[in-house]
Amino acid sequence: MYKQNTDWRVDKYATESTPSALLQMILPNSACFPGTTFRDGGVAPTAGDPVVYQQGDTPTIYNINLTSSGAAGASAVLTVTASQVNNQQQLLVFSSAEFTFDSSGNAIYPYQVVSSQALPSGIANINATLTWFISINGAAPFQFATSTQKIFVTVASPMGFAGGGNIPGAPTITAVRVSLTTTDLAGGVDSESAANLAQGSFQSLAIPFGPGNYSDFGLNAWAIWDNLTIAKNPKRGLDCFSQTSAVTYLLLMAGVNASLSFAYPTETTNQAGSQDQASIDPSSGNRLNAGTQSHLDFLDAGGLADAPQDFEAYFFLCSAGGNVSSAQTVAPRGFFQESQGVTEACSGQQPQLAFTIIATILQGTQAQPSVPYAGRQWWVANTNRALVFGPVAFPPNTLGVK
Amino acid sequence: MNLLVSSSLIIVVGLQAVAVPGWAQDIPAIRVSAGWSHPPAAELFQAAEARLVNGPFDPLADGLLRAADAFTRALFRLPDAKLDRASTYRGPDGDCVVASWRFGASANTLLVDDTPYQSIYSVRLRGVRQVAADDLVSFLRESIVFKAPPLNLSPDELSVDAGPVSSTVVYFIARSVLRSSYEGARDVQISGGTDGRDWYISMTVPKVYAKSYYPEPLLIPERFPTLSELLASWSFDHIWSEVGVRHESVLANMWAAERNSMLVAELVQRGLSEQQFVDLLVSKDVTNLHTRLGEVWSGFSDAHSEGLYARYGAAALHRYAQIGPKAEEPAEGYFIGDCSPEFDALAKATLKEEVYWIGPIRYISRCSNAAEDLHMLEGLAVPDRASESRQFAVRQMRARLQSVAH
Repeated sequence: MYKQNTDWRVDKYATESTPSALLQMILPNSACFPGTTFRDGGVAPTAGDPVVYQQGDTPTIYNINLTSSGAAGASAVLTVTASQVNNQQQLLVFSSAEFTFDSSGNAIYPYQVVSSQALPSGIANINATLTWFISINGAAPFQFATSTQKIFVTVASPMGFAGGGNIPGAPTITAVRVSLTTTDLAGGVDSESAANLAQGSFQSLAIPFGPGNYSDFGLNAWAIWDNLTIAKNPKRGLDCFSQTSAVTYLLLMAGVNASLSFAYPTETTNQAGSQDQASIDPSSGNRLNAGTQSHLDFLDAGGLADAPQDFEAYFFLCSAGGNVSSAQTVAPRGFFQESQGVTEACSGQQPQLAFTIIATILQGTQAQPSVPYAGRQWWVANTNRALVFGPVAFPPNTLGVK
Repeated sequence: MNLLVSSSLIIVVGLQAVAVPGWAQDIPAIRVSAGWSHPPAAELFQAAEARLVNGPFDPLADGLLRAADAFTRALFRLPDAKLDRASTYRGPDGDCVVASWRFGASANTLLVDDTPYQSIYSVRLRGVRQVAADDLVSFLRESIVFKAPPLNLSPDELSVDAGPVSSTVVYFIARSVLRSSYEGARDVQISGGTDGRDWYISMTVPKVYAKSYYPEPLLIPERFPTLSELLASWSFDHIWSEVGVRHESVLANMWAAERNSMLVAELVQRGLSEQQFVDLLVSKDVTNLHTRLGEVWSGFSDAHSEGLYARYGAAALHRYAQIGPKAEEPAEGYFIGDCSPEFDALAKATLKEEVYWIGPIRYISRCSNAAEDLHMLEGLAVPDRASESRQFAVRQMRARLQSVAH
């Protein structure tokens, strides 16, 4: 996990570790509390960098360094407990550490002190209060310090967006990103519940659907959170691609195995091929019909009144077995679809499943015929969205979408 | 499919020399497809050229012409290009500038039809009758700046198709297709072909890439004079009549919010009554209630009158309630503003009305750090459709309150 500034909370979400090497690694691994150097007299250390664990992990403290003004040569037993801020219920109890102060009153405990309790299940962003007790030469233990520690809990190892296809990567695990996702997705215990929380979290930002795009922010969806005022401006809003990307980034950073995919209007039966390769006018990529340049369009629930749909973006959740378990869209409708029985490997993009789902959605929309053309594919004129040719059957033909 | 065999004419256009090893790493291999018709790049060039020759030039467009020159030089590697002539016209998209540059030893020509929404370039390479695939990709890379501002196209974003299947490229199209699901909003498109005498190349660049080069605001049809200048001379009634006007152009309608917001901002600055505000939201040439709400909010925001928007909220929500389910989406979306005392009051008052829930709940969960608001949400009885929003809001507020305490 990385940070850019001494206080990681002021970091930008969009900052990557490369190419400018702006970031520094917070910890060599995620299994330690940093900065546990205390002095007696109750002087607590400054709250330091956060740590990240997976749900069910047992936290560990290491590199405990104590100095006492009155206990030179004494033997001591250290115990540490942790509770959540604003919650007196004990969260963790660490095993005791036995050591001896040297003649100068210093003691370094070089071993790990492991919590006897595991972190609870579920994504969490915990502000823990650590309470430090010490017993000198067998006397009754007394509290000599408290400290605070930010603990991020994810469902599995946080992942960055690797990129691929047409989308650049945003691969770096940063403290500010993990903090955001563990706050917004808190309580999620698996992929599905985390995805529901991610949807709700993103919706609560009240970013309207519109032609705005994360390429306005440097092709990194994390930048949406750095530029919320701009993203929320209804003059632009964000399109389905950008909104779905943002939710996918959140899920990955929480350790949820998710991927991004697309479906686009097509009349070919080979969905993995390029968009209507055999049908388009090479000068513009549009079908030429009676002299009018046009393009193939999904007509959504609003029919011709809806925004142009050159493609629909999805995020996919992946099962432990490596197959797609479900797919969701974020905008404009935020609908959710199960995988419709399609079994596909959860690697790269999944055009077959995306096309299967969009076909099902179009079918469902057609079943409510109150809006003309809704749920159909049509070639529509570029200049004024007038209908040019259609309806065009949506492959795969076996689904019967027409 | 592999590239076509290179044996024909090499393009010599006087471009800045650039070594081109490994072009295929920057743009995927050209796909060669049969059955396509001849692209109209030549016709596009000739149409723009006719406009250039026959059209006058409005001196008010001087600034735009300078911006177009700077933008063009950022897009193309044409160090010896000389701005030749320019004209102006008013089309379905709005105020447009046509300009030409000469470059290269063969007096090649670059034209731009500079509309409010796109820069449509046409290049004529004199005496170039056929182009080998290797030369085509070299030419594209040497002449167009893909991987740096303003385009910043990543290598995988551009696909290139060419045809027909033969030993030379007669025409091609290169497109970026996944920048946006909105047709024409962000995708760059390049095509080219020969008419048997010369080669023509056309490139369409959406204006969203031109932000650093053109005077703000972009994406508004009135450019000479600008809409700002026109607004100064328009009456309140005239401005009112312009809000929500539909355009012939798809692009003008796609970006209509830019113009409508500006009109609303001017109306707000001149003084907009609560009744006029409600009419703007639901009556004045409204085709989509939610879209109009966004335009009105943007106008109020641009006029720094967010507080007034919030204070008019009760009247607006009352009107939405009269409209019924069709107005539910804009009503719940009314609480879009940044956190403020006016929105706080509106959100809490709206919850007491027990008509709209999701918008005010989301606002409170986003903006409040008060324990009493958390307790209020925890005890709030809501209809099923708002249940998930309430649960999420409670969880979000709890997490934030703990964080604040930390």
